[in-house]
Amino acid sequence: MSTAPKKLDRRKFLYAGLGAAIVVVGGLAAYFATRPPEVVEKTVVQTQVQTQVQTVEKPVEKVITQTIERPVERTVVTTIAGTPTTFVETVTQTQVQTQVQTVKEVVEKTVEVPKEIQPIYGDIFKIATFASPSNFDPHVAPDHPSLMVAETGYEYLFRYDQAFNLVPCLAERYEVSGDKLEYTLFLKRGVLWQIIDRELTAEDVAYSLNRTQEFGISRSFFPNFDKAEAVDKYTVKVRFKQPFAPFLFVLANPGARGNMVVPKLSDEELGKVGLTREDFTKRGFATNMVGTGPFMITEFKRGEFERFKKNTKYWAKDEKGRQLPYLDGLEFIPQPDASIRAQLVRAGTVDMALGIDAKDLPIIQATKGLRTIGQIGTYFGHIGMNWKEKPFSDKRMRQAVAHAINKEEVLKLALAGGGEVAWSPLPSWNKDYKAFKTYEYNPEKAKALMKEVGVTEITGTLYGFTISPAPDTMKVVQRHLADVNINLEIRTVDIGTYVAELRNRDFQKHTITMHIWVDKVEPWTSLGQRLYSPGGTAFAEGINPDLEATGLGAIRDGLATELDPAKRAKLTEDLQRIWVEEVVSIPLWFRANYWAVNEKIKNMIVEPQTINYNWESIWKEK
Amino acid sequence: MVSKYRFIYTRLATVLPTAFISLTIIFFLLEIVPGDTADVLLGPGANQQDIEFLRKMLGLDLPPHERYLDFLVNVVKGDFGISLATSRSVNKLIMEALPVTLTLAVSSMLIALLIGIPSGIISAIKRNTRTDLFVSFGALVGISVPGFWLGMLMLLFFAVYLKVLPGAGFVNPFLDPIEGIKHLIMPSLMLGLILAGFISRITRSSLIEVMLQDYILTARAKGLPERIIIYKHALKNALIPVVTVVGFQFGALLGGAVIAETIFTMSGIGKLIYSGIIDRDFPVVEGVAITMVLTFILINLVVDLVYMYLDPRVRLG
Repeated sequence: MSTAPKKLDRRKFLYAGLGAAIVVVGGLAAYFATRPPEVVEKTVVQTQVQTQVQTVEKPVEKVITQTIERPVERTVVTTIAGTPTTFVETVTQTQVQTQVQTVKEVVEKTVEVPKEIQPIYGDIFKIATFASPSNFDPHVAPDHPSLMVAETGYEYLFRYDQAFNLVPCLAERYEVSGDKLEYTLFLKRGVLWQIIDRELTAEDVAYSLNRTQEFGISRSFFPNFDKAEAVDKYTVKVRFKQPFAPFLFVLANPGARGNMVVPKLSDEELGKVGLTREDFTKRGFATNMVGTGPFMITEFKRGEFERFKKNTKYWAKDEKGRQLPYLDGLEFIPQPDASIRAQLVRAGTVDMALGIDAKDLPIIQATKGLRTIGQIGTYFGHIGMNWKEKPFSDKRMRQAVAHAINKEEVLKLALAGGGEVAWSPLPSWNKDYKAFKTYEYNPEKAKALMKEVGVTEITGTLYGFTISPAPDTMKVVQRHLADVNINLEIRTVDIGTYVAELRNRDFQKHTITMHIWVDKVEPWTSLGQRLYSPGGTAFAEGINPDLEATGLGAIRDGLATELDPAKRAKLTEDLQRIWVEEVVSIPLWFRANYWAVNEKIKNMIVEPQTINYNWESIWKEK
Repeated sequence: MVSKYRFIYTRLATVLPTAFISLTIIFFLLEIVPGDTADVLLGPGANQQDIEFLRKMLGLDLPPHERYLDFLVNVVKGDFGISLATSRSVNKLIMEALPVTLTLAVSSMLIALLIGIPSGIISAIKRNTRTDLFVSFGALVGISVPGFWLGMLMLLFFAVYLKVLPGAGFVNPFLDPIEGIKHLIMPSLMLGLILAGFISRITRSSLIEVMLQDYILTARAKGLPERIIIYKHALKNALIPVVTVVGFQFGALLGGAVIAETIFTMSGIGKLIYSGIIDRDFPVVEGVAITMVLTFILINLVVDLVYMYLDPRVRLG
């Protein structure tokens, strides 16, 4: 018998086996990789209730009967000895009065009350963030990841509550002098510094505020600052050369630099922290955090993680007097790609992912055990024109561009609907927000305005940076403008080149510039300060030589000094109106921030700037 | 003929001028690129005053030649300076990133070699058969598949659906072998499978060429078993181009695994130099670049020495 057929059979068998294995493995891989996410029925979670006997004041209608006895004089006529005689006698008359009265009666009642949720102590909260912090010194750190991470260890003198009202933090209260130049801050007692284990004093706060002048990047948030000095152990006086109305808000604003409090370290204390005076002079707190906050840094590796443990000597307690924080620690995992962050939270590698793209929301919502939180943020997309050159030096031409852009479509196509259309340079949640729908989408009107100016066609460049969603926004804007014969070539550059070109005024060579900035809660820090900054100058000072003529300069100065809330609101409204009417820039959208969070994470509060989290009062279910 | 040791000394002597030329070119290239660390860190909404102050604080207001000379002096002292973006020692940043990259590169290369060489040999031996077709197709897929796509697919499959492997981070396998290997599987597979395709193709073509040589015919005529002919006589010679490719690819892995490092959140050399370029952090870029230049020179040296071992006829000069 020949062996050839056997060989052939074995080979065939091998091929068949391999083929089957490939089909099975490929099929499984394709199935798992492409199967639609399991849709989990979302049920409304009922709040757990328990019954409780409570004494309550209940309004009860009572019939009150009272017998009123009163003396009544009556005239009695009688005959005494045949002579009629009249005399007055006093008798007691009894009268019964009945009336219905509503009285409050204390009664016992069985009521249903929400079961008290007991926070659980322990566990590590893992968060996928955008990037590693560049620097742990809160007065130097310029970037979002640094500020966010710094907040776990450092604290402010004041904070915002959810309605953006000022609430105490390290300072209990304040007083302002009559001339509005001096603020007296009264500090909380018994607050301990991490690592060095000594109490926070006025010396530390004065040092911290004066240090903002040492670092220019903090200084711009404290204009006309004179000095801060300790009056006694718990009182600090802060003096300005000119009134600076937003001072307290800047102290609380998470995006403002220089407002977190750092200690004034002696040489001995520097040793405890692991620094020499020389190191500290060179690098400050760049690699060593010493704050009063709820968490202390334990380990970090740029690009991989930052780990924090709880500060067991933290000063704050919850409303029931329980020690904060609840969590044992935090871990930040930097991941620049939004889609990968979404997968990390789905895989359970992290408990929360920041900055989820709107397009990834359905898959997160369909994943069991995850929820999404969404909120309009502070990321503001707008475009500006070169005012120095014709034809945009003519306001009608800028209006034409504004009319040519369909903002709803920009939001839908460039941001997958994740945000809101901007009708002002402030987001709608800002208490001073006013919508100015002056230039709604109307391409015919745009063409008519261009005709009035005598322009039939424009060619040029649409300039912006490569960070999402700027390029997609530019593509949609390019198409809308092409409809009215404004034909622009898109030019995108990386962020470093973009900022450098703004700084060097090179943007003047571009017809239209796409710009994004991160807004702040307070109007002066948000709009006023930006008017003369590169971010703002792109659309104001640099491009518009008539900025003062528009009245914006005066408004900015007013916002810096005016303390009266009503007048500030009016100034902010005027600023928004002029901005829109003069087409300083064309507001396009405010992007929504989305978080994907494991449902086990409880009591998390987010704020629009995505820097400030209530780390101390978050807890994690087992 | 040059002795082995002299060859090594000569090669090592090229390190200094190569490093000097590289860092000079890189420094001035970074100077030409618009923007600096202050621009990047403060971002597009920054205040003009803030940018100016940060530039001064970071020493970016000094003329380029002064900064360059300062940097050169520090490099001579073995200090790459302080990162402008992070205020941390560049030496320390490199020392933190290097073990991650080395571990990843070695494990990826092991996977690539374990798959690439045997599959290349099988493909060459079974030339023009269905086995060859199948292996060649696999290799082609390996070469063609985009790394980021393969990485994302693996992340979805192993971390999200099966939940058997961690989706992020690096654990040193020498400190915690189980966790270390679990963290390495996906990134190593991602890089290794792609490389395996290259190695398989090179091994196949090289072995086919060698198998057609006269000395192989002689060996066959002598009645040597095919196994001996392939593994003892042909493979050693066929591996010379493979070693060249492996050397280059290993060097590239040390500097360019940025996609795998990004997808799997590992802070290796690739990510360090990438963030350095984006942040215009020239001490970091220079420090990493010099490290990579030295690594490449060393790898090339090793490759040349391996040539000598594989084929004693190869003489260095």
